[in-house]
Amino acid sequence: MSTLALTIRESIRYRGRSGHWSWVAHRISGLAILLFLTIHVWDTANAHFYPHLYEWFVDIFKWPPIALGEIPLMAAVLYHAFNGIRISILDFKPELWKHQQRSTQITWGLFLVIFIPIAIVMFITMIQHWQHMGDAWMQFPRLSDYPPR
Amino acid sequence: MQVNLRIRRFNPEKDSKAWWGDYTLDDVSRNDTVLDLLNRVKWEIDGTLALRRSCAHGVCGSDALRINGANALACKTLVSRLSSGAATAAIQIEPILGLRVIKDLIVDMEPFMDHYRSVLPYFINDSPPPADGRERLQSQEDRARFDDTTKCILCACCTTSCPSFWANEKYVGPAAIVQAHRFIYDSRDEGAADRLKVVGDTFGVWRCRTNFNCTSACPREIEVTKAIAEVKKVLATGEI
Repeated sequence: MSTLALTIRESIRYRGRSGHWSWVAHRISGLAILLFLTIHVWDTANAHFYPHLYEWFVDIFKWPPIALGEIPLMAAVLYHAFNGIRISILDFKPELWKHQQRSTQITWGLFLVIFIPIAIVMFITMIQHWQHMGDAWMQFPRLSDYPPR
Repeated sequence: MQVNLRIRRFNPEKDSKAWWGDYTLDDVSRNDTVLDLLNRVKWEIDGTLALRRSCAHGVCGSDALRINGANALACKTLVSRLSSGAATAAIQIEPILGLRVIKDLIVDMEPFMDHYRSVLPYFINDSPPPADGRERLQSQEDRARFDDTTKCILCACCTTSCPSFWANEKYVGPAAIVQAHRFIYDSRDEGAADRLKVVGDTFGVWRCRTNFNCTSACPREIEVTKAIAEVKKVLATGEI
């Protein structure tokens, strides 16, 4: 009776408590990191095999819609790390289970305290970069501008 | 008060897929249980509604259902817990997840029981009994070590609230691990190695993602996630 569709649908429909929603957030952030790492490994491999494609990709990453995506990526990395530590502690110290609800609140609090300043710094740095680019800031890098070397 | 009851219905002889049945019940007391409401639907409105129930007092564990989105026993869930105090309340009832629906709210419990049987849920000790031929004595501290996990009534609320079980029905599930814990931590039992082999396998405790749905769902308030973590610890350290 188990299916992937059932698991995804019911993970959202099930009215679990804080531990359930932390688990959902952990899965989503984990998938976001996996997606980024896949793109990152492929893109970095291009530095060796197709250097012109690598340069094109680096400029695509600086294109505003993609660059802004780095902020939720940072959120995913931070949350996944903090929640992973929380789960490891609860697994190694089962006697702490009574504090699990508080531990999810602490994890979210710690995440927000660290993520918000980082997000602000990242956003300001991006704006400064786009100002430096002048009128071309929203222009999508064209592959034809990166000839093979 | 009035209750608008939504029940997930499915008759394999007539329906190609499940559907929602809506029933309005008047003169409901806030002290009524969800099982009382289901009985009223079955006895007064639609006799074809299929559900399991037996003791109706939270002991037999046969009426585990998904009530307003989360697993619970119908006989232990009061209407007052599901309503905000208004004159009308909406309650939604579905069968538990991850097991095949036989009819309406009845699911096939056999895969769940197969997992239960797989952890050898019985006392194993082949050594000779004490010289006086009477019981094998145990200290109060040793008995307390597994007291919590003796309370399980095999209702399946925990196992069917677990996303790892929804994703893969081969996962032994929280209930079977609770049963394994009950005997692994029993100082008189000698079958721990065999049980640890089962729960330490690919579809054993390592499928647990520590999301505490099982602990929240348990009608007996067993510290299920804690028991699973203790079994994980035994597997990791080799020490009971």
